[in-house]
Amino acid sequence: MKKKEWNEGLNYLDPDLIEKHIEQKERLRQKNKKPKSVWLRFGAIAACFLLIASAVIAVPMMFDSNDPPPSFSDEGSDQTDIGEAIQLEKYYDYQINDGMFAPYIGGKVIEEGNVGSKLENVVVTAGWKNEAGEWLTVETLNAEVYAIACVESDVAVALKFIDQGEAVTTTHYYTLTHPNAEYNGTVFPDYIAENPVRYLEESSMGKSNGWQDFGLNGEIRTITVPVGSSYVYQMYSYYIRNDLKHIYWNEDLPDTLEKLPEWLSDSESAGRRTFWYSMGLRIPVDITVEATSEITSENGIIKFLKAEYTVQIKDGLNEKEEHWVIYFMEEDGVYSAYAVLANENFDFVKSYSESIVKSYQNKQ
Amino acid sequence: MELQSKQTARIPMDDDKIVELYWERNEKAIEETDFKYKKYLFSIAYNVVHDRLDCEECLNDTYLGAWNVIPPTKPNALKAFLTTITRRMAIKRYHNNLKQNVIPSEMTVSLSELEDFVGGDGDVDSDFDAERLGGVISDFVRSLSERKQFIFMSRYYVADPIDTIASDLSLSRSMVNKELAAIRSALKEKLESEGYSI
Repeated sequence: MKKKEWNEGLNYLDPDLIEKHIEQKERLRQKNKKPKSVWLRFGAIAACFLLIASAVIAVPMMFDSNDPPPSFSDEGSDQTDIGEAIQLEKYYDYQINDGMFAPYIGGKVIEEGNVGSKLENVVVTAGWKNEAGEWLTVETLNAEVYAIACVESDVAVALKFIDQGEAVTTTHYYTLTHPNAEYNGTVFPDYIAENPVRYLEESSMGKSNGWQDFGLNGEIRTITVPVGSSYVYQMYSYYIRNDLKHIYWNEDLPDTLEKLPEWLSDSESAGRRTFWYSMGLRIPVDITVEATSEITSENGIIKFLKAEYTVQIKDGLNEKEEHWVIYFMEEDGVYSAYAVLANENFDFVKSYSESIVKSYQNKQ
Repeated sequence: MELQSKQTARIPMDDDKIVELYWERNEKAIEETDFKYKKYLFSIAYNVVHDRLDCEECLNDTYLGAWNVIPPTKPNALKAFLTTITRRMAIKRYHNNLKQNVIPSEMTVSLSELEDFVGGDGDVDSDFDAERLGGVISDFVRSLSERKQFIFMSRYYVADPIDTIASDLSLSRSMVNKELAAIRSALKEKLESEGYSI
């Protein structure tokens, strides 16, 4: 076997093995950070005194909202077998004892600005668990449950501890999410497999999802390098959803296409914003249909319902406005959507995407 | 696409958010990727090509590659995704450079360790099936103990120096060499059983 062949073969190594290696390397790096010599330990102890003294003031300022609150740790730093080291890993977990939030799962810290009104007082079991999820230590802590802004409490809530736990603070809000919550537990369809407009292509970069969209000359157009080389494509992100039933498999879609734009803008009804979530993994706070109109393809066969939206997105504490234009289509009772998020000049994006849609003739 | 990390204190962005920036076609995605992963990706490329300028170009190719495939690709593990791209770019450059001279990189040393069954600098045979070989190697790696998996991946995938592996695992150099010898012996057997000519 030639060297080049060997390396080509390694290029096709299972990605899971690469991910695993990276995780192992990071764990070992963390573990090897521990001071080993007496002098280093002494230095570390001295530093700890300083750290404790400053922590009272500094920790709340340092705590990053993206950090997961439960601590992960490993024991047996002298272990040299990586398998053993991984097995000894433990993590801090917590769970409400009774009531409707008991099945909820702990998550990341949320900023105080996103927390709403207090819902109830609860008692929480907290402590360290081993990799199999068995409690190694247990402590009972009092806590308060709060609503999270723009999130229904049957999906997620925030938890604030009243009692100090070993690895949680009394100053932060920890999210708790229902394990089968509407958004959290939603498994979105595999658009590569299920959406016939998208396909799998093989390029020098390996396998990736290619795209097809509405062609300028009437055909479905194949884009091997979908974006990046064209400024026009940088002006917007687009998403093709060939069958909305893939997203709303457990709901009845409106009986006419005309009702669909409003139906998708209903941010009050549970689960209605899933369509928007599937396009960028963010849940809009508010969705407004600004205008709708009907357009017909140049060959006069396909009718589209064009809807222009203003969408409010909350990203942390920042709220921003997005402009979307979505072309809905019905074929044999199946609703499809070609959605365009305008990153720049909305009017230009609209006229460009409209010219593409008008050139649409048929699916292949 | 030359990018420099900012020197001011700054927290690396979550991978999910970086991927989201790529999906929004926001060029800040590349800046954040560079800030978070430059050092790591540089080391991956350096182990292979052993040249700073080549590494810089590999990194730029990596960022451009990521920009071109996200979307529509949505990587679940961004770091592994970038590793794959960087390694491919570096390997490509390595073989191109190899035509001109010997490269004193760790990749050259690690390949020389495999000379019992990997040799010759020629091009890939037309009937060579890289995907099949990838599957065979993957199966082989999975059959190893956790520690040996780590050693194999470190040495033959990212071409880490033996000293680095020894330090990672708190082992002596000789112990790592002993483990590598055992891995190579088992690998040779596996490749033979799969019909690869030695």
